[in-house]
Amino acid sequence: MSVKPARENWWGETWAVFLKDVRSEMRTPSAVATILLFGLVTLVTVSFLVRVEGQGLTELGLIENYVEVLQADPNARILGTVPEGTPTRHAVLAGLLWIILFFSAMAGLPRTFLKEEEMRTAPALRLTALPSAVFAGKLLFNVGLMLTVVSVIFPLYLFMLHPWIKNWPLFVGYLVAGSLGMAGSTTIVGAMVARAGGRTYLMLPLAFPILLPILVFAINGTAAASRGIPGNYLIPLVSYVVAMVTLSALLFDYVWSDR
Amino acid sequence: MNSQTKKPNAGGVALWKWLLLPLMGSVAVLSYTWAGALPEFQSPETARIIFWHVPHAILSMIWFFTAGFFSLRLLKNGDLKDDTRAEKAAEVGLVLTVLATITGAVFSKMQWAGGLNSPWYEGYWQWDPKQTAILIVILIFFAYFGLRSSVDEAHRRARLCAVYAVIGAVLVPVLYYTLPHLPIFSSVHPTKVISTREGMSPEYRTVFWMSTLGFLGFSLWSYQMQVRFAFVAERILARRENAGAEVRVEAVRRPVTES
Repeated sequence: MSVKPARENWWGETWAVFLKDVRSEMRTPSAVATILLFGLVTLVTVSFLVRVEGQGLTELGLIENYVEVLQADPNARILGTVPEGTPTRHAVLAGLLWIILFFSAMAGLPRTFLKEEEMRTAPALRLTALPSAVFAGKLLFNVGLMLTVVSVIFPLYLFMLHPWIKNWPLFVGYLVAGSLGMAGSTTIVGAMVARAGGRTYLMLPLAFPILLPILVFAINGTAAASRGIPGNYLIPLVSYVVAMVTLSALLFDYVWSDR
Repeated sequence: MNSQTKKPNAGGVALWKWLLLPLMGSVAVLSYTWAGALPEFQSPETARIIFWHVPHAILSMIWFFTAGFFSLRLLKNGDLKDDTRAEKAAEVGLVLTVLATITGAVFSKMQWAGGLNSPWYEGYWQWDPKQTAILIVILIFFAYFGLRSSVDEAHRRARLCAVYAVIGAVLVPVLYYTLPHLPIFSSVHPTKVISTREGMSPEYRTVFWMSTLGFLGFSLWSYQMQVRFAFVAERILARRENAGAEVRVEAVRRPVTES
């Protein structure tokens, strides 16, 4: 019995790896389920920060009387003592959005490699596909995963946290670029975690410092976009991501192959 | 026996290590006499920070590059000795980074945060872009040692850690130099102090480079000691394991020969 690559060309192999992952995800949606549940839980937890009707907060003296404030000014939805439209509120909400996305990404992105090790399909994949094609296929899958998650989490974020967004195209641009960046620069870390005996607790410490520049750019950028002020964070964000993806592609073979 | 006759400095300390004593001694003396206090500083005495903080930061980067170099060499030829060298270089780099952070934090309180008049816990951390950057670098190499301690099989650990160290070594100059100097961030750190003639007076320049050379010597010395110690420890462990194996073989054999 001879083992031949599924397709002869690189793009074909990449696409085959991607399709295989999508099909396997459709059968048992482990990554999507993990990442969406994580995102939802974080979103709801974070929402309590924004709603301030609780006894504790009113008694703290942050707001004298919430009902009176609302009657005097019906538009006053209040974040702690921070009213809507202020720079502080934009900054806090931008930070919260990326905290939600970051933690759900950390929970879901290593799944694609962990699954291969758990199901013991990794050796077969190692035999049949080029390492670079495996990397590219998994990268595509992770990008798709992050975009799916963003498309679910972001509308809920809008409904629950009421951010005021002035510059919509730029905001969406940061959202897409930031989630692509998270998927792109942590794909190799996911592979490392899977190869380190599936120790999932390693994902957070290993990925966090690599992702921190992306988070800094994305948080600053989304805050600037929602305030509608200029601020060029998109170019450094994209260049950092391109550099990280290139570096990961060069190093992936050493993580993936047995030698 | 042969290994003892081979070493030229067996029993003695190399000349350059003796020279570190007068070198660092004169740095200590000159920094309080020749290179005087600078009145343009908030507290003029603290101008000497440059003889400690800046060499630590520069040398930490050099040691992370060294770790990256040995990691790349390990990925090329798979020699586990390079893994030990990379580990020890990263260790020296991490110690220097922590020293740079601590000296920087003390200076930050004195220069940028009202000095001793501010509350005792205030002013050490400003979230200056360079402080953020060095924090990320510390986190990267903490994660590197976390990864080291959680993979058991030596060759796999070496390869995974090498990949992470290369990523770290590439990120260090990006974090130290590129990101803090982007126009979107404003740093309280001065720029072009070292690279331009006007940055420092001749006295300061001389003492600064003497100090850098001295710390380079100290870090090289501690790196050498660490590496030698690790090699000896590995040899002892290997010998003990071999001895253990022989004992076990004896234990299995004995009843057979007795009966």
